[in-house]
Amino acid sequence: MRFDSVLLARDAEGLFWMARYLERVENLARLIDVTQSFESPGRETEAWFGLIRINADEKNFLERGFSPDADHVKQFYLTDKGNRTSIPAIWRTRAPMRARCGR
Amino acid sequence: MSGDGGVTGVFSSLWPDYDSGRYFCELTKTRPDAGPVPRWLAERLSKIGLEALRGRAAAAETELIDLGVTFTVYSDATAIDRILPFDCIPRVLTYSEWDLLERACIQRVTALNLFLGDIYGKARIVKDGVVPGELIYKNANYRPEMQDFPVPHGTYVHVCGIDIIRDEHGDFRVLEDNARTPSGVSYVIENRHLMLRSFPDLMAGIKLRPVDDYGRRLRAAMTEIAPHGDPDSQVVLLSPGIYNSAYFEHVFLAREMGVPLVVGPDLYVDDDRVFMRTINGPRPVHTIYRRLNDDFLDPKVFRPESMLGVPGLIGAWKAGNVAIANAVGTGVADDKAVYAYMPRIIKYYLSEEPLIQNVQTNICREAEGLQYTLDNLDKLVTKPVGESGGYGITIGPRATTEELAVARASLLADPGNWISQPLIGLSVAPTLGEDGIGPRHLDLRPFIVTGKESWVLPGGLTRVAMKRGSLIVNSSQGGGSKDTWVLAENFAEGAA
Repeated sequence: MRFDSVLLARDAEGLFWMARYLERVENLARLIDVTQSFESPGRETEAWFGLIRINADEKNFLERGFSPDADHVKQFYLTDKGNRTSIPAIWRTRAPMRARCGR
Repeated sequence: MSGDGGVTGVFSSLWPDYDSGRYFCELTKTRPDAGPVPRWLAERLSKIGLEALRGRAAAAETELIDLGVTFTVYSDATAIDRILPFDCIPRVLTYSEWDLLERACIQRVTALNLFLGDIYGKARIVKDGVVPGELIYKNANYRPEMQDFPVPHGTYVHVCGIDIIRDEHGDFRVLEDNARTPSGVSYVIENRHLMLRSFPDLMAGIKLRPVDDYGRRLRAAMTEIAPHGDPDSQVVLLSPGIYNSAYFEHVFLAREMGVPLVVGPDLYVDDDRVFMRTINGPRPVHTIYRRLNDDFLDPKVFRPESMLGVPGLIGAWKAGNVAIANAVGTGVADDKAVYAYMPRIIKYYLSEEPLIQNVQTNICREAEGLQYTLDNLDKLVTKPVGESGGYGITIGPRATTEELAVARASLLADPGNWISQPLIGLSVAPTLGEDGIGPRHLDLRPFIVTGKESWVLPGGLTRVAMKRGSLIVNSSQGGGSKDTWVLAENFAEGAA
């Protein structure tokens, strides 16, 4: 019986990318959290649209049919699975993790 | 609709409406060596109560989803992950029933392996006129590449799943052999874990044969067949990948065996030796438990367009540098036409009667079988041997006059393509449905692992038709599964 562990090159690559995706999701979530905490009443649009600018997502945002207001930005990043830069979409690319854990 | 299946004794007070009709009930039917277990089960289920039972069953199914214990259903462009519905009322097999099942499974696998060794060798069974040569040599799953290629310990079928049913009299019958890449064993183990977590009060004090030994046994068998039988041999599980419907099971088994889960591109062949790509560079591979069909294994030998396999794998195998389980070409032995000859195949190689008979099968290529089938067409199920998935089947008792006439014409046109069987009333067991606890039909698939010798996982996968009256237990048709209990010899020791 061998006790030295075997790590397949493909799995190592999968773990690397999984960490990258996790990091992206985490970053975006933190930005959303900060935006929420510091938005000032009456100036929500300005605060939330800042998120779009930080991510250089202006073109993508308009192409998805959204208009620049706070609710749309939240939808765009939190629930829009069709937006490749949304949290659910980034998270869905966790195929490498499924390959490792079957989940 | 009351037959002789109404319940007596303790069951009549707990489940007054339970009626298994003319079918054999696997819980309420009195079996001497089941002891008090059926009564305990009924009492414990009643104590929990229907509402709590439903709540706990729903929680158990949610857990299956969370754990990813799923299979994939393909429809058009979408793939949906589904769980196999789980019924919380276990199916109980007694010590003596299991003793028979175990011996019968080993007998059958032994015969299957001898048969494969013979047809890919001297073909004595064909020369002796026991099995017609055209059934073998014209079979789409016959692999000429296997001719005169000996395999370690004469084992071709390392993992076998045998589908067994129970008729109205309680007699077991083999319905089908699965000698290629049978699946479902992960549910056997997961169902037991689920039962232990969610229904410990049902099992308290009842000694059962354990099922968690499967991974270790399979790993041991894979080591036994490795070239030179080296205990340090590197075993891997080769999967077609995440899009395969049984992918969960591949992950599960790799983990249970403690071996890497690989896909085709993880492996390569150099100088007839197989390597896997690891972060420490190439590493030799000695045994491959493959969950990939023959066709896809090696694009150099089989389908040239397949990306799932490993180019040169068959060459490495024939050079004796790697073992493949199951061996290539086992599909010729689990074919419907060959199934009909299994009782004769067992007698031919082992000089024994089959311990569990086939479902009575009339072989229409033989005059006697054809005549009997034609005379009793309205009572029999006729099946074409070359088709699968239920295509072309005529169920006599449910067919119209026109359908019977069509079947008769097809039979006469090409008798060799047909077999017929009586319609079997599958046994039932109490199952939790929308209308309370009622009888549902079920079957059993035990799993047999063979390296040097055969070992049978105690129990197996019990598949159950969740719809009242339905005889179809397939998961694609809404079938579910139950935990299968095999009572240990001293099952009730220390129980109250």
